[in-house]
Amino acid sequence: MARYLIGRIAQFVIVIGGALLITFLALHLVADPAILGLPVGTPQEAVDAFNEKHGFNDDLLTQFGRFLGDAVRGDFGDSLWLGGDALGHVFDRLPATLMLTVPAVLGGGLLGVTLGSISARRPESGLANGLNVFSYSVISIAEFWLAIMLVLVFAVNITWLPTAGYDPKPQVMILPILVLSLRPFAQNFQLTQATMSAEYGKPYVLAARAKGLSEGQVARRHVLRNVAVPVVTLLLFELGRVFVGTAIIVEIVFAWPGIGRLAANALFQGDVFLVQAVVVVAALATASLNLLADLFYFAIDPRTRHLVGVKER
Amino acid sequence: MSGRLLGELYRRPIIVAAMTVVIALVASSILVPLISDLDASAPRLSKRLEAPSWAGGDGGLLGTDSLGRDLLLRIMLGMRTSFAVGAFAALMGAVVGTLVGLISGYFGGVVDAVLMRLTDIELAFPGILLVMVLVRALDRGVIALVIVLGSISWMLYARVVRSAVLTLRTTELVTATTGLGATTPRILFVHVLPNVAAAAVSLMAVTFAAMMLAEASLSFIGFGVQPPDISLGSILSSGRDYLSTSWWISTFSGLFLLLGVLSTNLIGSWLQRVTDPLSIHTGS
Repeated sequence: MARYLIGRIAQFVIVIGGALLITFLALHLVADPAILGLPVGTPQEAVDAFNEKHGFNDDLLTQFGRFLGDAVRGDFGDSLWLGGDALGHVFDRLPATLMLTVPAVLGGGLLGVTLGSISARRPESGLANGLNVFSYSVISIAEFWLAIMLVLVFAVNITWLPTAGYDPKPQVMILPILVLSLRPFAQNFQLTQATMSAEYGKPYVLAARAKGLSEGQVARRHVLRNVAVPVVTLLLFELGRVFVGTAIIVEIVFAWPGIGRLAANALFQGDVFLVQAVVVVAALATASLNLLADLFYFAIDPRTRHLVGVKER
Repeated sequence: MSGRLLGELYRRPIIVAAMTVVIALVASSILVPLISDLDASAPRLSKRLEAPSWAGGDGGLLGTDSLGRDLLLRIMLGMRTSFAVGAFAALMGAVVGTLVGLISGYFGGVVDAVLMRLTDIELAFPGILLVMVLVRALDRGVIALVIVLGSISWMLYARVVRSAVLTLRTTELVTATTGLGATTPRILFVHVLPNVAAAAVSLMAVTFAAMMLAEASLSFIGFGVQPPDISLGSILSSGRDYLSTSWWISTFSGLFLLLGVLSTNLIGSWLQRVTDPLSIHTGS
């Protein structure tokens, strides 16, 4: 147990460190912060002063050491583009992103689980087939296109909903949440259906039926408990993926001031400090959710306990 | 093998349809720009935002964009970019990932532990954000996109190939060839590689689709293909400002992207099913 935990937490630290290192090398070694952040045609004296002021003239190792030291204390420098504490800007935008991603993943995911378990019990029904086709299409669709088509239909043609903008009201949030919820829905639907169908073929289901339990009781008391582990793991994993993936695109389409749009703008502006702050927060969020998923897996499924110490299955 | 494959195809008309769509899209993305006498980038201001001819406009089959350029031609060139970026990125991922998987699975031990921890870490990364940072640092463009997308897609191959090699390593095939005195590279590339190739190839179709989507998404938000190069994502993005008057720009560019990605995804997941020996036995 302790060994597993230590290993898992070490991995967490390495992931965060790796994200920091890659971002740092991309911005400082592959690119040049002065070229990224200053307008084309800036006089050489101004470039030199910029580099001098932010310490970009020191050798990379010194710079990375300083960056890590400051990062541990939560100091990511001042944003070049917006001014003020870079990390502060990220945290200001965080609620807006969570407002969209959490309901989207939980809502879409739980609906996927519910419909997936219904389809697993009636595999050849019209509902199951229809949902299967739907979930495959959803995975192939580009979210930004879907978002634009929804805007075209619901906001431009039949002006029910606003096109974009920040306003935490249901009619403003419904389209972005809908777009964000589709992939978690499809993933959870497919996983629940697949794992539940597999469980239904196992002897313990036959035994439960033989002792006279109703189908509902078989599902709730026996099958669903075995399916819970992979499903919750997937939900947490999806939350991390939507948070730093799809949300960026959706926030841009709907002009929603979350950290995704902040990240894109910071990159466009070449704001090295703001980019580094966003990446750290995003990496912390995904890595924590992954860690949580693994720990949950470990805590809930007694079958995993004897695997401690076994490296790979 | 080929007879069984044909029989499989006969029972799945939707896969045949998907293959037809992919072939048609590839062919027209090559042929349309060759045949067309229009210029894909020169503005024609008299033809700005013309609707498609069947919708009462003067814009040809799919209409024109805000600079009067023919949308059909631009979408076909965008498809070309999609296919090219998807293919090269998937290929790069496949080559690197297969090599890593082969070495990791065959030698095991420390090499394996290090390589697999590396894939763990990469899988846990905040994907698209890091891609955006890297593409920005490499100053964007098609080449940067292929390199970055290729270098994030190898982990999946590495894992799949590694687990295939692990099962294969304990079989008589490897014992016999070792006994006959074959060198390690010969065992790996002549005997082991052909046996894991099917798994890698079917994975390639799936990653190909994912790479096409990633390219379009990145170009849409301005981090991908830069003008004068054409991408479906950037066409779609340029149509956003004219959504209420010229719906065809965003609609058709996205529709073609959907067709391409959906068809390759269908083919990919079908290939994975037929090349997985387990699923043949169970008949599913």
